[in-house]
Amino acid sequence: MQTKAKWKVIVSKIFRETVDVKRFILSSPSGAPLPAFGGGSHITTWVRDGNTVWERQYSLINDAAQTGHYEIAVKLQPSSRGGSRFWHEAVHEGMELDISYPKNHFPLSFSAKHHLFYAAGIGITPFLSMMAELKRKGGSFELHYAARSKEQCAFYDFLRQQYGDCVRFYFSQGEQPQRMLPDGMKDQPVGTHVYFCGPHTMVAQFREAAQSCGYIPEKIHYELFQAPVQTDPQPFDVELKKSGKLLRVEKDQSLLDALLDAGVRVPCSCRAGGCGTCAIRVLAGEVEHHDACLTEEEKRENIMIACVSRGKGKLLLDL
Amino acid sequence: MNVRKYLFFFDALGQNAARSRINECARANTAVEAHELTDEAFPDRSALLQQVRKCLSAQKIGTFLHVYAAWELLQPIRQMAAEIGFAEKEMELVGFGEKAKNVFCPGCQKMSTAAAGDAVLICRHCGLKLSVSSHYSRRLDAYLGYAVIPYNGKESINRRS
Amino acid sequence: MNSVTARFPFPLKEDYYRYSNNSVLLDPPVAIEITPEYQEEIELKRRLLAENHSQFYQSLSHTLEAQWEVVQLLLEQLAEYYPEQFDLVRKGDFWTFTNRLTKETERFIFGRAADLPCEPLDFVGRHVQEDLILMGHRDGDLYLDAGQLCFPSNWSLAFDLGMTFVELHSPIPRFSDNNLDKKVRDFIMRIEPGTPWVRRNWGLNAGRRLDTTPGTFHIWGQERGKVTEENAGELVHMRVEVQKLFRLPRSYFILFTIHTHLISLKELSQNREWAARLLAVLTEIPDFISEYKGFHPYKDSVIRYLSRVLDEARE
Repeated sequence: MQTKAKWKVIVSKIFRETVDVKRFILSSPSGAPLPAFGGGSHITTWVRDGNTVWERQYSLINDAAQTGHYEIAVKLQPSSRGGSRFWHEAVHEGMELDISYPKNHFPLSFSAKHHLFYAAGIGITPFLSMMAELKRKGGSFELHYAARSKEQCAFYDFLRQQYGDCVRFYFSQGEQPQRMLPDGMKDQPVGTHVYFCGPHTMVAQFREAAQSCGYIPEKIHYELFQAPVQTDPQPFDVELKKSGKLLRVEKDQSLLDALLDAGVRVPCSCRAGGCGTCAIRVLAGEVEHHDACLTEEEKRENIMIACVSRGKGKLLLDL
Repeated sequence: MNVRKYLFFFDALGQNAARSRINECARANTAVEAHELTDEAFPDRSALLQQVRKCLSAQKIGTFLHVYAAWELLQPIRQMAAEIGFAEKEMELVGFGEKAKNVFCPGCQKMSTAAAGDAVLICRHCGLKLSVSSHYSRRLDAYLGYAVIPYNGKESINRRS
Repeated sequence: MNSVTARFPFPLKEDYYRYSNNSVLLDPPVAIEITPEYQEEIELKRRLLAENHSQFYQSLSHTLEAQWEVVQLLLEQLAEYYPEQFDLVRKGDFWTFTNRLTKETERFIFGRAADLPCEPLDFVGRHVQEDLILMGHRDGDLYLDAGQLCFPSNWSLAFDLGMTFVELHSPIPRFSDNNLDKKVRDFIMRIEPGTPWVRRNWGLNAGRRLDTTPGTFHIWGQERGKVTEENAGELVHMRVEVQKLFRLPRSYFILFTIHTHLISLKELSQNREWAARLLAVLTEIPDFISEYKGFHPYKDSVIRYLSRVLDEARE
């Protein structure tokens, strides 16, 4: 869903955490407080690089009780198409950027009595604000954190100092390599919830292991860092099967508007890809989904949201 | 759910159903732990519940809770299990014996008891005539009563039950 | 056209009505609205809370953080959007809130419950006309965790407290058709901070009463039997709830503010388009909707009234 609400912030300080991880402090230029957030939240950032704007999501890593600023950690991805590379090589102190309101798709469970965190690499980031919140509220938790080595382990000193025995580290390189195994999830007290964040393969492996340990899906939480989304609208053609009408949707026009302009009655409400009212069935053609309400199953059934989604080339619609 | 252990609590009323279910679970080759809640073993309700709580607190992930007992025991056990961290999908509680239906009066917010099959009753606190609806509150373990008023010579209830 | 009609939030956009997710983005993103009815509605609300507190205010214990977020949101917005009537001064955590309409000043340390005369949600609700409902977003579902509901459209906050969204709506016939109840719940759970939404609910009541509680149905429900074509203009009122949905960023609760508006059929009919649209909707509306909303017994009287008004207008 296109969230129009944005904040202007400046990079007030940059810290190097490891050879490929940097930490950025973001503050409001006016000094006004930024919106509050809960542990596990992330923001979308938009940084300008000439004619390109890099849109990337990063977890908020500071304690939510500190309302004056946000902190994020960016890892330089070896296969970076430019986003993380730009952050590392070009973003400097004093630079302005836009950010979204904080969103939370990875919250702490309300009913968990004990929180068991598993982080690999830069997957540590969402857990930082979560642990700060739990510590403040007196919650029970444990973190298991895998990295290549102590030097490449972002926030190693901070974690040892803040959380002591609640953190176990696993370094895969060095003299005594240790692998972070899912075994520790077994035989935990019944009120335990498990949380995973890291590369897709690690998350998939731990999710499966958690299920065989007896965790029900409601007690398994995970966050994957998604690939960025392309947004560069192209015109496309539409044929309506029932009426035989042919339309062209221009690049600055939504499918919904093109249909309404042509006199086709499509129920609609929010015009922002959120409410689901303008869902229509596609009979043929490739759909680019930009909505925030359809399930994967609905997309497989060829439903699309007319106000924000588009087609590639030509679509045949059940209208 | 990949169950690692079935945990049973049952009393005299629920024992037949419980034993039959226990046998099914044992055949599936999963660990089974069963406790009979007898009057002899427990001098009073609170001692009984305390023991149940102690047992529940020791449970590990992968435990599925079965309760086959008198209706009055279900609500307190369900609540304790939730406090300890059992999710709804990790427990099944089956009630036996007489179940009094609690009816919530929207006028005075107090409870009255309806016998099974009663469609209408008078709130015993404020006297409002209530029709028993099917709207149920798990928190209160009660059904909502809808006020009844005379209307056009017939009685009209507030909403369809 | 009088001013009540001019500013009434008429809810019907089509010539027919069915349950749907009729939410749109809220712009400007203001949760509350001060209308000329402020004084009388605030007085009524406060009297109801004083006479029968547990009927109109309920909260579960874990909602305090969210309640304080509501205090912050609403006091900030009152001061920003209605600066002549409200004032908010903050010196660190020391807050001073002035309500010039009620001539009250409240001083408190933000977050310190003991400084307020009652719970934070209860306190801030007494300064706005809206009813306030807090839905907790926890463990993959939405729960009614707290509320100040003085003007309910025939539902009981005390009974419904703690229910999930789907459970709350289970008495509405056919609201679960095509999983609409789950779709609306999922939509609400996707609402994000900074992006509030608004929707409208409507009914046709006999009588003009804001606090139509199920506990007093035996009193206000009597009016339903008195409607005729002749008195429909004055007795029947359209009741619209403008509901605004905000995501509270810290607790991740959803705040519903519900502003209830009433207009007599006579006043509403001053707008001929609205009268015609309402007539079309009522002529077509299925029984299961008119019965649940409660106006089925006098629907025909209202239809005859509206038809007559429109006929007379054409002459």
